[in-house]
Amino acid sequence: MILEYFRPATLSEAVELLQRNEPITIPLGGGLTLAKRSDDIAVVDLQSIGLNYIKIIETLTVIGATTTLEEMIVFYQDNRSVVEAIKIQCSKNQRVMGTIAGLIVSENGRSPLLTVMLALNAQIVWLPGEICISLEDWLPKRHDWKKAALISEIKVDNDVQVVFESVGRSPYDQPTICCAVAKWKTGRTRITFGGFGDNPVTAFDGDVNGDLITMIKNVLADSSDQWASSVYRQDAGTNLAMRLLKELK
Amino acid sequence: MILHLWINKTPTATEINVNENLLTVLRRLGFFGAKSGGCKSGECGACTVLFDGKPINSCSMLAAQADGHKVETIEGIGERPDQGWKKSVGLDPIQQAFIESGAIQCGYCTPAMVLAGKSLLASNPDPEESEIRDAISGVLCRCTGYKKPVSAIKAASMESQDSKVIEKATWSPEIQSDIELNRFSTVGKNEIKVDAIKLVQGKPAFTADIDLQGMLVAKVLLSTVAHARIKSINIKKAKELAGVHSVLTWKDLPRVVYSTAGQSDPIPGPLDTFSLDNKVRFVGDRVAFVAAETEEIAQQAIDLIEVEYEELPAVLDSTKSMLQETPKIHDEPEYINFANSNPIKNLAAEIRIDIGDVDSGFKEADKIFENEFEVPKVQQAHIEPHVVITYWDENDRLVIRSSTQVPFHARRILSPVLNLTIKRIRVIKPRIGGGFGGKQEILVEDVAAHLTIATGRPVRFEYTREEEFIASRSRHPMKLWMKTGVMADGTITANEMRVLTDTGAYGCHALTVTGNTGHKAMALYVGDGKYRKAPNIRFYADVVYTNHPPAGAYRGYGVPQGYWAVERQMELIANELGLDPIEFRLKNALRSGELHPFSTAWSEGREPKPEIIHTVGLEKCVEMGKKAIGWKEKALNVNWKNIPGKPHLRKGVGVAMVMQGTAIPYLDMGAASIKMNDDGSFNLLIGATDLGTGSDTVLGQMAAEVLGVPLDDILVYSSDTDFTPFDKGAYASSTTYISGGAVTKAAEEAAAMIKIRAAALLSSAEEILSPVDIVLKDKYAIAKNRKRISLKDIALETLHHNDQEQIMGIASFMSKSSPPPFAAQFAEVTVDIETGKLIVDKLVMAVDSGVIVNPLTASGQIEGGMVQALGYAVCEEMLYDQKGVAREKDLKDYHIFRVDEMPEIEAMFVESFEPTHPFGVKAVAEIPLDGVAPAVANAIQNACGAKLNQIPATPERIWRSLKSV
Ligand SMILES: Cc1cc2nc3c(=O)[nH]c(=O)nc-3n(C[C@H](O)[C@H](O)[C@H](O)COP(=O)(O)OP(=O)(O)OC[C@H]3O[C@@H](n4cnc5c(N)ncnc54)[C@H](O)[C@@H]3O)c2cc1C
Ligand code: FES
Ligand code: FES
Repeated sequence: MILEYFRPATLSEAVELLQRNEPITIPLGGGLTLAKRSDDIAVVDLQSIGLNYIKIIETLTVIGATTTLEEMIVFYQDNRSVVEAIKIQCSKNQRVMGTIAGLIVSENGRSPLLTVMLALNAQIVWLPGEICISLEDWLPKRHDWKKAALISEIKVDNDVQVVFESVGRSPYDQPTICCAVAKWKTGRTRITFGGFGDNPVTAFDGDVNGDLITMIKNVLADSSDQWASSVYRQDAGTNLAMRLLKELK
Repeated sequence: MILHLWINKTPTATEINVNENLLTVLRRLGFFGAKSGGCKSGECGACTVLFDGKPINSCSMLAAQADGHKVETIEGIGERPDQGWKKSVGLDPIQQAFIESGAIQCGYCTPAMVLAGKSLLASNPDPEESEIRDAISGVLCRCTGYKKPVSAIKAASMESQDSKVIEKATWSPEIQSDIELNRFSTVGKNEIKVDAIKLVQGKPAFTADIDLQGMLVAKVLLSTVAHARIKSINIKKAKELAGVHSVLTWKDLPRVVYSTAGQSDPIPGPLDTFSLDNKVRFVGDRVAFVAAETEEIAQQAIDLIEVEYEELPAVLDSTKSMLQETPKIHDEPEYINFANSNPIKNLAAEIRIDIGDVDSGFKEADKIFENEFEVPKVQQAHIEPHVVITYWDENDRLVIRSSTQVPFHARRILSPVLNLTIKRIRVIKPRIGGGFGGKQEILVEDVAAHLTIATGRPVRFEYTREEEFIASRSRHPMKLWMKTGVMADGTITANEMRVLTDTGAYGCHALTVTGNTGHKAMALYVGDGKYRKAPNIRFYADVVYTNHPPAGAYRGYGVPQGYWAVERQMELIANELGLDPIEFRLKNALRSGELHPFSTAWSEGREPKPEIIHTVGLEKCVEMGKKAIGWKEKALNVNWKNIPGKPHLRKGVGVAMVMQGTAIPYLDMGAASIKMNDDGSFNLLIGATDLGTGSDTVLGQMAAEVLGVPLDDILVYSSDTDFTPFDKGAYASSTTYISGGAVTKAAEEAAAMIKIRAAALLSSAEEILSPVDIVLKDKYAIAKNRKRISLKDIALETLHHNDQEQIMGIASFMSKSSPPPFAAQFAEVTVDIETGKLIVDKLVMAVDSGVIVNPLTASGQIEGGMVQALGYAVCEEMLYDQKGVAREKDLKDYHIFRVDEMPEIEAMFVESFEPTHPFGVKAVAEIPLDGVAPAVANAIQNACGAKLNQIPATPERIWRSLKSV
């Protein structure tokens, strides 16, 4: 149950409020998940602290934490894959409210957008302390992450192309398996999979050579759950990855 | 805190609790146009409002977040133009377009759709269709199939009148008719729905849209185990919690056994349910009821109840239910059998039907085909959850305001349960936000009623979406086994279906749903030649108890399950024998003038009586559908099936043919009363329940036709057990036919009185007129000599001036037949043969439903029904783990189609005149559920050879089938 509501006007005020332990005080992005929490908490609404932006700074796209998924769609309108991942993730109403940081914190391995962000090797900046950590490194630690309280921005390289495909029971169903492939100008390629588990997984990161198929099969070996078997995910996932790699060529 | 915001441009300040969401606050302030779908994670969008001009889910936003912002609700969008002496700005063009296009069915999602559309047009006045679909993608609609709402927004957006005219031309479906309908002025016309104007304004028309002084909120403690005896319940802490007014357990209530199935007396199924029992039989079964001042307190009280269970082995595999060693789910002594039900065998119903000589038929066949099929448990998923409000009125009569499809059955069934005589109960059915069979169940009414009896206070009880999934009813899952004998020329010599149905923990609708699986699906293919007169058909079924949540009534009522097996079986046979799948089916299908083969064998547990089928428009439906899907160009065309540049994709088309029923013969009865008002308008009172299907409208059209007035002059009211005559309720596709029959007869009675008075008034010394010389038309009684008098003048004459009397009619209608509608369903799909991913590109359904009273509402039924059936085909499924815990608990995991992922859908009609009904109608409502799944699977087979025996056709199932090809 939400006991207290704060709407700070500055980032520093927000960070300070978030240091409180009694009651547990947490950030409120769009509120999509917080509105249903049943434990006693206080919330710090981030709507007025100026984190709603997408900027291109040199080689990076910097996305403010409270940028909504709808604003992401507008920014990425020419990138079919990102738009598709967001649309599978959420309908219009949810996109208007949901923030990118809220999504990163609350979504799991079934999230198409998180799968794409992982392929893009997104970096998350946490306050206080300006701790910059890759999504790849943060995801496994997220359940006991105590180092900082607030995501201020998310950074993504500009010189990278990403493609994505999802397989679900209908076009905008949650994925049973989805794959994102990102390729940097340098040739670096990252392949990630989602549609199951706690976090999306990275199957490959580097220059494409060697036995990709084995690596993919390995990373999907334990992916069985109540929605699909790992045998299926291994086969479908390999096909998706190969197809997307071809598309990037 | 004090919340300051602008609501509909008006600055508003109100005290709120920081924990409250925006939806709760808006509804408390009287903005009832924002609806609740009971969601926890904001999936349905019924609660949409505009937040600084953009659509958001008000249930997932803290009210505090809205402080300082602008909120628009449907109440601020537009209103009826004429308000007595005050003129308003009128309705918004989107609202007007929703009304005219037939975009409103139950209307529960309508305010949300209108607001989302309005937000789009404010920033993009001329959007593409895909932009409209994206803009309203946050709003789930379970009724319309989205085609008409999208088209309405498009029409509202268009600047030029010409474009609007073109868009509007798409609203009415294609109808092939050889009936001369010009003789009707209202029947057969696209009249706007009688309830459309109130629904488009978001008026407080639904059950929960009232606030009563002192109303408490009810919550139910649900079982967390699948099968257990309750050893003890400690309610002390819950009772002591401030704000809690009552906590009830099985010890507090009279032990009355009943069935929750809302059916006629006697209930054709076992009585095996108690309001509260000392045993729980599924995860989600009831343990205790609480009434408290607020929902939060009620939930806290629920959390404080301590239950000690003595767990029993759970029965979760229907194939094991009847084994001797399997634990018995119903061991209560009060259990009352119906027909062959037997709790000792965990058997809720047993059906054994043999028509003709099936074994000889198999001997006469050149080839026998045997296959097994399976269908899942699926949910009605109406957007308005189950909801009821109960209170004592000033006469100490219990009023039950409920979103129910069966108000009269509810009153009768609840009477012993509550220990109140029928005459002390009044059931009011306001608007229903979708039901689809789910509200043919007496599921929530007793909870609130017991708590009102316990506390003396009004009580509201509303399911959450999660409760809809774990504690409501669903479509029966079945395992089906088919055996068909066929001669080399494609003549079917014998057809057999055996079914194992999982009814779950209770046997509500157990016998009748599965009976219809055979009665409708196994009736279509009788065979050709001598077999037409003497078909050989066998239908055997066991309906067994398990510790899954109970199944119940769901639109289609057992028939979609049957057609999955029958139509896959037909496809597999045609494929293997190298026969044209369409010709093979038509060769063996029923034809007009033939006997319904089951009519001599089974009738919902009552005595069967032979029935001739008078009209069969199936062949014409096939022709229409083939053309619309492009069958000739696609079915065998390899070039079309392969997509250049996409070697992993294959396209295919598929067909299924189906028939349903229209009402239950010799049983279903509906009644209507009509009275004339001073201005020549009429009140039509019906017990029938419109769940969004448009039945109030088509019944009004029939009355208007007989009385010679526009539909606007018929004030339709349904239903209230105190005021409206009896009607069995909305099920079995019966309202237009049965209640329509009653309305027509009642209107004819009133018309007869009018004609007598008109004849007298128009007669002169020179010419004495007789009532038969009078016709009623355009609000006048017109004599054959062209003299006329307005109905208004007749009303004033009869009510006030001379020989005063009330012009009225009251009548009932019961049918001796159940004329089946027929349909041809087509599907076009694209399959990814590497991943099994399936895209359904197009669905076409051509339907013979007799005379189409209102093409707009009828096509809306078919479009929406096809989309529900599409979910059954590809994505909807309710699964349980080894402890009986549900996998699907919300509308995210249980995926229903969103507007922005829809295939193209097209509904069309072949019109025939059904001679057993005054206006020649047959049913429309359920048949669209029957054919989509097999048509899609047949299309998958046509595309890539994958042969599916189980739905939904998930990517993995398609992939597995492809691997085995
Ligand atoms: C219909 C629907 C279904 C969903 N299903 C799932 C699901 O199955 N699994 C799942 O995990 N999520 C699910 N979600 C959550 C959803 O996808 C994301 O929660 C949403 O996009 C988060 O955005 P928000 O801004 O509304 O987050 P909020 O609800 O405001 O916050 C989400 C979490 O992120 C934290 N947070 C927000 N902003 C910051 C920040 N700047 N820095 C640090 N922490 C922050 C919050 O404290 C909270 O813990 C669902 C949401 C919806 C609407
Ligand atoms: S999304 Fe708000 S009630 Fe369903
Ligand atoms: S009309 Fe959309 S849910 Fe009923």
